[in-house]
Amino acid sequence: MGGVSDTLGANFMTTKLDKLVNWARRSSLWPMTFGLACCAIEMIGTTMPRHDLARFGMEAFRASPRQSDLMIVAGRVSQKMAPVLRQVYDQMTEPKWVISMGVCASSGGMFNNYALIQGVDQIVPVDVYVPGCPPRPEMLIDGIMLLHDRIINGDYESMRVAAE
Amino acid sequence: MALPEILGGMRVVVKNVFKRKDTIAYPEVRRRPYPRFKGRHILDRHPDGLEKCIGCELCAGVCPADAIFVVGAENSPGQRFSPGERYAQIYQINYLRCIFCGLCVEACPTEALLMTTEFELSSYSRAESILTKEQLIVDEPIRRHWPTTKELPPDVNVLAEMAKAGYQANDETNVADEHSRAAAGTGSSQSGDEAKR
Repeated sequence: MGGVSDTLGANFMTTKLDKLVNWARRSSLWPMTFGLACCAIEMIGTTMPRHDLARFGMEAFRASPRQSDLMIVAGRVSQKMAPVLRQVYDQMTEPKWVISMGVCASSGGMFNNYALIQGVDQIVPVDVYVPGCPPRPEMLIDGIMLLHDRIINGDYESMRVAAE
Repeated sequence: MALPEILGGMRVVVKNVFKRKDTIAYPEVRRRPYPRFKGRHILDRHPDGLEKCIGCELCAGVCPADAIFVVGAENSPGQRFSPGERYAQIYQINYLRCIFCGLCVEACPTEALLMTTEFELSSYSRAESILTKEQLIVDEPIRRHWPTTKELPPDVNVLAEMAKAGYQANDETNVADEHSRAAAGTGSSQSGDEAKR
């Protein structure tokens, strides 16, 4: 179920509380700034007034992993960046989610070579994949809303177990 | 002492409070992309129901990201899928590789592969992002993640707004005119003319 019922056991109180907790988690995701390439420009554009990510309570992109619970990996991940990305992911506090934005982060895209990680899911568990090169802001919002669905359904623990 | 500065600052705030909002509330209000926007592919059919794709694998060959996987097979008299000798037995596009460059559409000799303006392709797993022939062929309706109540034309008065703001018409306006001409085919407004006025 996720939320507090994992540690306190599932009963009437905790399952009701879970709904509230998951709603709160969904309604104010704080993304972490992880722009690695051109996708970052679209990620920035998503927060601009035209698309206004603040409507989903997530306009504050944090520079610190300790304060954020969503990592939007925007751009291609090089072999050299991979350990950095993993460390930053490990520094984020639970619960945490990852959106792989753009084809480069999702699977390497058109850069099928030795320099790039062929998909960020090889180093961190990815919750939502957003295709596009780069995705337009609507595509990113679409991915974020899929993640919202996932959070409100509260399968956080099962996702984690499946990913590890 | 600082009153004039404060009033001057507040004047800007008050002026902007009553301006039309720039935000397009995406899931409810959609901005339709330009007709030539490159989005999700479809595989077309002939009017008689036969598939246009002949399994030549030119799209797979030209794809810079190796996103397309085609396995052709021979048509038999008993089982005919396309008018030619061959048809695509397996046709898959990996949307986690596809960079929407449109080279595959240009390469297609039978105009079987076309691009729509749909872009809601996010998914929970890699496997979901690989669309098979059954999903790409036109019989299957394109699935949208979110229902929308309102679809704005692609050129939602951006040019008129620019003209209102005193934007000087120059080379960029010509490009914009071209866009609005392209959009005029789908019955959208003539904002290019508004920009000129």
